[in-house]
Order: sequence, then structure tokens, then C-alpha cells
Amino acid sequence: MKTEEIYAQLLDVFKNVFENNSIVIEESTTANDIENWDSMTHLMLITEIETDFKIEINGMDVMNLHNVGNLVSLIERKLG
Amino acid sequence: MGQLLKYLISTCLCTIALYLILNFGMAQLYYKGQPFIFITNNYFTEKGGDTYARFLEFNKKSASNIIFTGSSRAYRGYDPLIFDEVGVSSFNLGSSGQKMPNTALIISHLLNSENTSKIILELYPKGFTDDISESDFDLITNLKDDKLAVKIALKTKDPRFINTYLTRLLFSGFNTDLPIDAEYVSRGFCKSDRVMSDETYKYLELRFSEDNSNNFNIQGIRHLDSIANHCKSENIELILVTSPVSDFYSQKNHSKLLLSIQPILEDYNLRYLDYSQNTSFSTKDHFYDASHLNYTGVKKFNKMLIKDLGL
Amino acid sequence: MLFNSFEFLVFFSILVVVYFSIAQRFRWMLLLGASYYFYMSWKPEYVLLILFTSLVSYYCGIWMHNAKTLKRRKHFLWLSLAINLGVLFFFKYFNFVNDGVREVLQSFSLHYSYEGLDILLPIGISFYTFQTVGYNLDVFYQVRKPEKHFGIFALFVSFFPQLIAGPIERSTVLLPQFKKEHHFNLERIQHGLKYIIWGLFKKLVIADRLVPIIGEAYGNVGDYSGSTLWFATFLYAIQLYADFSAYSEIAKGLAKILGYDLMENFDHPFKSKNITEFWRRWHISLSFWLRDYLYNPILFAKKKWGRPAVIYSLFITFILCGVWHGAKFTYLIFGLLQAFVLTFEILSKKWRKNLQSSAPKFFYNNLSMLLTFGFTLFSFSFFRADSFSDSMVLSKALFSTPFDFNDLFSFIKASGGIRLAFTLTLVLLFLSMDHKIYALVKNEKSSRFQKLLIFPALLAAIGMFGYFGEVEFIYFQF
Repeated sequence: MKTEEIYAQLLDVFKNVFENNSIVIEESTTANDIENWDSMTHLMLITEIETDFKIEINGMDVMNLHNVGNLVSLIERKLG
Repeated sequence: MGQLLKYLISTCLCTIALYLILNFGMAQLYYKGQPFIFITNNYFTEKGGDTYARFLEFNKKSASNIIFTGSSRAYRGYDPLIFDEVGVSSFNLGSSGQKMPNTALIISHLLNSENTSKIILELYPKGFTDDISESDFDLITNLKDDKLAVKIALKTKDPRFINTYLTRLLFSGFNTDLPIDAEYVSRGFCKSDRVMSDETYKYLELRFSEDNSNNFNIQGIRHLDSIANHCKSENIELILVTSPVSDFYSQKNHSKLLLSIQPILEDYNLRYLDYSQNTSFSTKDHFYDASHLNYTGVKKFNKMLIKDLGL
Repeated sequence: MLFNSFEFLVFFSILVVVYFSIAQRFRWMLLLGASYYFYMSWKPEYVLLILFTSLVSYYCGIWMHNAKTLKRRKHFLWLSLAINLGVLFFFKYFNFVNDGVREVLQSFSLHYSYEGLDILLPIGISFYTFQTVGYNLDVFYQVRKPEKHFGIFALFVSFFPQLIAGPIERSTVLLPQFKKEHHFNLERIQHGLKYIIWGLFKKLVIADRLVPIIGEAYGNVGDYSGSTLWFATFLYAIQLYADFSAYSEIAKGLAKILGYDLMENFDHPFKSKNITEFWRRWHISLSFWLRDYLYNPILFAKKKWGRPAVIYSLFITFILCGVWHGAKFTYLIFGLLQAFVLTFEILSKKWRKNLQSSAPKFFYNNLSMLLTFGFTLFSFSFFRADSFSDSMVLSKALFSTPFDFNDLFSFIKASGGIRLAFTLTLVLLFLSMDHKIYALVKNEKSSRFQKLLIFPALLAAIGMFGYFGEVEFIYFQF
């Protein structure tokens, strides 16, 4: 899967989890930039990504996530 | 580095300037007739009271037969008027909570062979610690003699004394309308007509326990030694006395006290008159609180003492 | 050596001069030696303990990194955790557990005679242990490579400004700083001094003055009414904040003079509108540490549970946060209270958001702050209470007795009367100026006005109004 496709699919997940159709994500986006981000939505986000991309994300992976760019790289790694 | 030094020095100078201005300013404010500055911290004693009156009245140049020294048990327990009756002149230089280190300084600075032939030192266990207490700040503020006040201040080795000494300077000058203790009589003695109520006795009973008594601290012994030494070289007879005690006196601490002064008693061949075990004094009749005799008790004790001293 | 002592002033001044006079490659040795010397000024033997902890973490980090399989990596992680946390547990909780065992056996009429050990808690152990555990977890999660230089690692564990009471620093942030050369910089030193002066002011003029007053109330909880106890608890919150943030700021200032940056540990916590926000503003280094090394890992380990995982993780994290402070039942209650309220906040988020959009902003914001502050005071009462039974008496009084002005008045008289009024004036001045002055402190630059007037004025105020004599910082007992 290409990086742009990942971003597109990821954006849908974000819109769904944060219930906000006007969300914008880019490489440098962090938790602080997204309204309504908390532990609950963080958890929901990760589980939704797992379901959507059919991958498994564990505790070790989560430790190194600081921004959306890290998240996309993680998804890329998990996909192949 | 040079710039850093310049910065540090200018900061220090500004700090000192502001500090002095702040002190001076606060000394001008009054609250209910008292200078406001005294409520700002715990190392201030209001100028005045019995310490001030006593040391103001005391004249280093005039002679007395006996000088009484020690804590509040001294200035409330020995009445010069009673000693007058047997032709003995005396003065009382005790002060509230006075501890050995300061007693030693007062004695060596103010008393010599010219102005007295006998010193009675009222001994009590609490007086043997080196800790800083309100007594230090009381003396620094209220002693008449500047040099002695400085000696006491320096001895505390505590930065707080700078504040205390500064207020001494700010409020210096002969000032007769300072509040004097209502119980102050003359020649250092404070007379109390108070009596011990049943309530007070019960309250003290609840609070007192041998186990909770302040632990006796032997540090003051070296000061007692220097007092004995000074008296020896000035040809003054030093007499140690423990005046009568109430039911709320720690006998444990008293035994420790006895043990620690033994060597000094022997070295200097001193008399020690211990009235703490004298059963003819009862707490309810002769005391007004846990440590102090009321005037009935003082009369009885002084007469007893005069007899025992052979005066 | 306390920060507010003459010995420390001499120690630190000499250290700064020597530090900037020697070559960079020797500086870690100087700092390590100074840090160990500083630690030994409490009890010399305990330096062996911190050395031991450093060795365990250091070697486990390297072995973890070199391990070929995940399983082996986990073994080394568990080894380091078991030893380091085991040591912490032993010193903090052994006697507590021992007493608990005795009580349980006694309820079965079995006699248990072991009285427990007479051990003194090594100062700072809770802080440096968490700092090293964080390091081992960072290496395990491959957030960083293990530190090869033992001397620098040992310095990271024992760096004296933050050794005794934090902030708890991340290895990724602090360790690299020890490898950089820091030049003598007057502006940076002046900046560091601002932190130190402000910290000393908070400690000596605000926090220490309040100690005897709070002691009067909390030492006699049965004697005072609810309104008095609320008042005393309010003062305690101020004292705790002033004392603890002072320590962190002095630590920041000391480190800054030498060239190092420590994290902010407090950010005006009483402005929080909810408890979730409170924990982002109070003891930040601890709460962020707990979030990253405990809360998130547990949360993601249990993600299959969905929402309940959040609540489960919250409870474990805050129970641990509570008991980290010590082996007292009241600390556990403190932690549980946080967990309950945080859970409530998560579950009620939508409802509160609706309330916020419909209510007038001024009303909503201030009511939120008031309620949050009120809850904070209530949970602090457990933190300060001398015993569990005291805390129960306290809680009952706080919520059942009506406002009693006479009682409050006699309390004020008993705790110093007019002197207390003066202390309160200082406290109110402090609360109103805290934000502004701290903004000045944080600013790297200082105007002439600041250098010649404001900070010297704070120093003069310390000289006049400060309570001197050794009064230990509260968080030392952790």
C-alpha cells in the first residue's frame, strides 16, 4: 500500500473516532493538535486502526508514537 | 567571570538597601500601639518588658552583696526586698528562659570583684541546652549594654539575629514609655500574686509525664565551668541553687543534672543548695504554675535560703 | 545538605567555580563526585545503595540490548525491575507488610512476634528508582540505546539537583545533556539564579511559615470544627504547593547554572478546571512518568476490553501513585479518590461538554475551578492526616459541621493570632502575584528593573520574613 493511500484511509479512521469531518492530519500532527484527544479516543484510535488495516499493534509499538508520521511508518511496517 | 562578580555584588547591594528600607519602613508602622515589625517574624521580641526594665535599672558601677542569675525561676524566686531585711543588698539579673551560654556571657561581662561578692545561680535542667530560643532574641533586643547584646547575637551563629539586632538599633534611644511588665517591682524582681487554680492543676496533671519531659542536654556544662572559672578569678563566691519545684518537675532530668554538675562542684569546691526535694512546699499553695513560686512561696523560700546561707 | 543552608551555598559556589575551570572530559567526574558527596551528607552508607541500583540498571540495559530474542530481553527487564523495585519496596513497605501480616495472624489468634526492621528510608529513593526504571523501560521499548559510559550513567541516576525530590527526568532528555559541553554564560546563570531566588522565597516566606499553623489543626483534629479544618486544609494545599514547587524550581535553577535543563514540574495547578487537567499541572514529572510507563502499557495490553480498559488502567495507576508516597492507608485513599474522580470525568465527558456550551463561560469556568480546588483540598486532607482514624474524624467534620466563626477565631488565636494574620497577608500576596512573577522567572532575559529591584526585593523579603532554621522539604520523606 502506498503512503498516500495509508494517509487517506487513516484520515477516515480519525474522522470516525473523533467524530469530526473537518479533521486534517499530516506528518507532524500530534495529540495536542487534535481536539477531543484523550486516553479513551487514543485507545479507540489504535483499535480502529487495527481493525481497519487488519494489523496488530502492541504495547511496544505504542511507546514510540509521537506524531502521525510515526503512526504511518508503523502501519507501513506492519503491512509488509 | 568579572561580569558575574559585578552582577553578584550589585544584587547584594540592592538587596541590602531594600532590606534596610523595608525594616525602617515597617518600624514606623504601629498596630494597636506596638510597632508592626514585631509581628512579622518569630525572632522578634517586643522591646520592653521585665528584661528591659531590669537591665536598664542595673548599674555596673554600684555594688551589691549578692547577684541572682538564671531564668524566670530566678527573677520570680528571689526578692531583694526580703534580703534587705537582713542587711544584704542584692539584684536580680535573671531573664525569661535564660540558658547557660547567655548566663555565662552576662556574668563575665557585667559582674566582677568590684560590684559583687556572691553570685547565686538558679539551676534548672532546661537551661543546659545550646539551642536558640526566644531568650536570645529577648536579650539582644532588651539589654542596655550594646557590646553585650552583640556578643550574645554573635554567639547564636544564626542569621536571624541580624534582624533582631537591626530592630534593636531602630528602636534604640532612651525610651521610658515602653511597656513594662506589670509585675515588675524593682531590682530585677517580678512579683506574682497569682495562685494555682484547681483547673490549672488538673490541666497540668493531664499534660505532664516523666516520659515526655524534655531530655536534659548536657551541653551547657562547659558554660557552667567558665562561670565558675570567672568567679574564681574575680574572687566571687558562686553558689548553685535549685529553688523549690512543683509536682510537675521531671525528677529524671534532675538526677541527670546532679550527675553532670558533680565534677564542677568538686573542682571548684562550690556549694549546691538543692530545694527540689524539700517537701514543705506544696504545689497548690506555693506555686502559680508548673515552674514558678507565687509570692507566698517566695517569702517562705527566701527566708529558708537566708538561714541556710548564714546571712 | 538542605538547599537552604549555608553549607550548600559554599558547596555549590565552589562546585560552579571548579566546574567551569576544568575541561569538559573531566566534568562528569566532578559532578558525579559532587552528587555522591551531596547524597552522603545525609547518610554515607546509602551511597552504596544508589551505586548498586546504578550498576543493576546499567548492566541490564546493555544485556537487554544485546539479547537475541524478545524473551531474553524480557528476562533482563524483569531482572532490573525486580531488583530495583524490590529494593524500593523493601525499604518503603516491609514494615507495613510485616505489621499487616501480624494483624492478620492475630485475628486468627496466632502469635507473631517479629517486630519488623528499624530501617530508615534512604532519602530520594522513590525518585531515583523511578528514574532508572524509566531508563530500563526506554531501552526495552527500543526508544533509546543503552548508555555505554558507566560514569555518565551513574551521574544520570544521582545528579544532585534532582536526586532528592525530582523532577523525575527521562533518560532521553537528561542523559544526552551530560555529553554536551556547556560554556560559562552569564545570562544563563542569571536565569538560573532567578529560579533559585523564587524557590527560596516560596519555601522560606510562604511554606515554612505555614507549618506550625497546619500542625496545630492536624495535630488536634478532634478539637476543631469543619470550617476551621477546611481553612487549615486550604493552608496545607498552599504549603504543599509552595514547598514542593520551590524545591523543583531551585533544582531547575541549580542545573541551569551548570548548563542543564530540567523539566517543569508544576504549572499553576490550582487553575485546573478538572482533575484530569490537575494531573497535567501538578507533579508533572511523576504523572507523565506514570502515564507513559504504567498507564499506557496497561491500557494497550488490555485493549480488547475496550472502555473498561481505561478505567482498569486508571485505578491501577492512581493506586500506585498514592502508595508511591508511602506505606500508609491514607495515601491509598488519596490515590483511590483520584481514580474515582478521573473515571467520573471520562464517563461524563459528553455531558459536561454540553453543559459547557450551554452555560455562560464565566460561570462554568469559575465553578469548575472551585469544584476542582475543593476536591483537591479534600484529597489533600488524606495526604496530610496523621493517621487513618484522624482522616476519618477529619472527613466527618469537613462535611457535617456548619460554619463556626468562633471556632475559627479561637484556632487563629491558638496559632499565633496577629502573626498568623500577617502570614495570611503574605500568602494572599503570593497567590495573586505567583503567575506574574513566575512568568518573569521563566523568561531567559531579565530587564534591569528585574535584576536591580524585583529579585533583590524577594531576597530582602526572605531576610525579613523568612523562617530560618532547618525545616526539611516535605517531599524528602518520599
